[in-house]
Amino acid sequence: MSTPREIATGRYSANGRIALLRGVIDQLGLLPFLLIALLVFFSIASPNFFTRTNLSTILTQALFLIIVSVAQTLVLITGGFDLSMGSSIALVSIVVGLQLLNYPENPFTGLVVAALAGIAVATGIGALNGFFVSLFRVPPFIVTLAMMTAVSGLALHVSRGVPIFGLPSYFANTLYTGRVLGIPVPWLVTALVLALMYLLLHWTRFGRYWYAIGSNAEAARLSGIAVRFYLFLAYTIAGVLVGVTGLLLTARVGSGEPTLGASFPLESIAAAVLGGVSIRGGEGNLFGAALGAIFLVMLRNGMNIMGISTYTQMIITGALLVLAVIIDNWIHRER
Amino acid sequence: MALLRALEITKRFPGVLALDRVSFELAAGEVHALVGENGAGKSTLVNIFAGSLRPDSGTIEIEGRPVEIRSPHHAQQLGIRAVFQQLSLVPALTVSENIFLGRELTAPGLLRKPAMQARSLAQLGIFDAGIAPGTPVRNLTVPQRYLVEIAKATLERPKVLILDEPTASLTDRETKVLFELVRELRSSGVGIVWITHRLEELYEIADRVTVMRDGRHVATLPVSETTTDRLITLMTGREYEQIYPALRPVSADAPVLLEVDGLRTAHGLRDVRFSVRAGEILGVGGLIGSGKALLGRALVGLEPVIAGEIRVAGQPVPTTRLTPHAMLERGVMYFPADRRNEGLLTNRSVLENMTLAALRRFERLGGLLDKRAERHTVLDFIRRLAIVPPNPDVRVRNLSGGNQQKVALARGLLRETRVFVMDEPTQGIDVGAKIAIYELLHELAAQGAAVLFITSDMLELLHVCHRVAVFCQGELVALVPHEEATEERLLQYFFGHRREEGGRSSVHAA
Repeated sequence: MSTPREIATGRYSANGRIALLRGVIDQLGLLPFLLIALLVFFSIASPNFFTRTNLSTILTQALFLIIVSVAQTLVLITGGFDLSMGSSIALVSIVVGLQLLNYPENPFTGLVVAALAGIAVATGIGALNGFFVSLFRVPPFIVTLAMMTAVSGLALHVSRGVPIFGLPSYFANTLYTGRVLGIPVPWLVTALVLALMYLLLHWTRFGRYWYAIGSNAEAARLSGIAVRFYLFLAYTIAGVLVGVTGLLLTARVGSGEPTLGASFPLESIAAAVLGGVSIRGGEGNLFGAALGAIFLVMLRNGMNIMGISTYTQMIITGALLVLAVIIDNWIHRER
Repeated sequence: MALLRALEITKRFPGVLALDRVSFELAAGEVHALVGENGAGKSTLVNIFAGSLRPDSGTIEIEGRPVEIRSPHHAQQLGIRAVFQQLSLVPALTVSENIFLGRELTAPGLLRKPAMQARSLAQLGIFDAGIAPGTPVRNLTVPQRYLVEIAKATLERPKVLILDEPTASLTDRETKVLFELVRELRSSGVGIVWITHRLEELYEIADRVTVMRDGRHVATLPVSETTTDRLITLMTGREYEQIYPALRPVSADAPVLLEVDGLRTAHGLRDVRFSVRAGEILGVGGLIGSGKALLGRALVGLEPVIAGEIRVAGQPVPTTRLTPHAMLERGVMYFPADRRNEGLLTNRSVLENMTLAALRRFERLGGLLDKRAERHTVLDFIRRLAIVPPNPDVRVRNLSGGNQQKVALARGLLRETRVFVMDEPTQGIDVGAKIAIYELLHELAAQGAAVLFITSDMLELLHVCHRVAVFCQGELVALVPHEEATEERLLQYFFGHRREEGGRSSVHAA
């Protein structure tokens, strides 16, 4: 007969060493190993990589992707995903830019109006996604793909396809280079997002319900959970986070950009999956996703330093992503 | 020489040793029955024969030649066909398209539809069930589909035919026809493996019987040398009385907790009327497709209810707004038969599964969860229900079926649940776990809960329930008190005899 411990770990394979490796990866995720490997590799490959300045650059660049990946993780946990986050960021950028132009001399009002408008737009888009996914049971792929197309069109239409220049300087001075208690504002916001989302996911009923829905929506329903409402809520909250990202990113680039963030949807899914979030839902956590985001940015940074061309970089990134999904399948396959 | 011989077959699944050095032999022209409790390993064994599973060790010989059965397709090439309860028909295709699926008759490149239809008709003719070869399978009834599946399996006379509970979904008449077909196949030298839970069938059709228990081969006997009682003891390793706890009587003035009147659903149930008292276990039986499973789903709104009244502890529940949530609020919880796909979060922990429906209990200031209190409660239930391993952080998919069922039950116990609607709670779990579940149900009843116990297991209906409600074709045809419940009698109701007010029965004009 089997011992409790064997049952607990579900490990029976004659191939003990591979089973052990799978067990460790199952617990910690693949990412810490990949991250260390990447650090070592680039440090050997280039003397300019492992420097204080460069590492700080990597993290600063990674912040935006981290927040989007956290938003994506929330949606992935419920068993869906959101392709519209990129075009949503673009529309936020345009709306924020247009609002700021109205308040060239009025920093406080300008910031408040721009922030509220930008976040409201992204929240609305998230809510609309959630509405179609939960109420009409349209597959998330279709809903968010359609939303991506429509919102992208809207951003280009409103801006007539050209960036909005001439934003007042207080904007970037506050939200990009500004500091509170000595900490740069984007860092502070990212930390706040991680902390709040961690509480929400792991210390409240809401988080449990999202994991439950992603793991088995039918079981969740039979346990009395209002599945539709919580699905709607997940997409909406993800929208809020996307709005925040759009705001910060606009401050960083210094103009309202109609094509800002186009690579974010796929990169955030990639980051989450690398970080151990299951594309089948119900599994993973946001710190994994955040590490995944850092990994992707570090990969790009390192390849840049090594002088690898952008096109080659794309090929390598794609290959690594497929590899990560294969490993994800291998870890989570039925045992 | 044996037609099919399996030697020392071992098969492990995570957490379970499904087959432990099992040997089995099938002669040509023999009907060999395979019996055992759920989880005894019968399905695993025949799935290995059918090529759907590969053994970890052991050898299989066909007509004396060792073979390695690599896939279902390969098994078919070797002359092994299997008909499982999970049918392999494509609903959108017609009967003849299904029968010829993968081996279509063609005249250079094009399908010979008339020829296939004609052969299908001839093949189905023996059943005399009025199935037209051109009908899409989705329009057929469950028994008809089963017959099509058998026609498909026997189209090219196989060497070995495996039938997994063939009579479970058939009516009396169809069962007789099937028996005739099987006898004919036997006389032409086909070896037949017949899995069944209905022991009385063996005496009519089988030559030898092999008993399995807990993944082991227990005995192989000629049917003529055995009795039902002896088989049950072999199957369970226990005498009757040890398995089924004594029923505590329901007091006559116990309050009625659940009342159903004139319930009608969009697909199946008609005019269902019954009530359950506190302390009572009401068994719900019937054939597959009789509506017994629909009842559980309908009670929590998973099946659209179009008419009728439901009252919980005297309070009417609006049937137009019936949802699992609404019923939970009233203390009624439904436990689906398909634990893995409907009941549990298999990739989440025991703790998360247990408290899912009762999280508000652990909410403190600002909506934050009191995880320490939660863990404490979960550990308490793990101990009380003797869940193995006693670890709240294990993923539920790594538990055995019996422990999974206990986790599901605990979810109900953590709320103030007064009515437990359980669909096949003991399906696929071993005897020890079954006994634990029975005892738990009795304990719940003793504490004043009402239990609706939907089951396909005749013995459970006879021994675990205070009363048995029998469904046939969507209607509740009989409510039989424990004292009057006999296997023969319940089977009569299963096949459509109706119980009259006085307790006499008459033939139900179907």
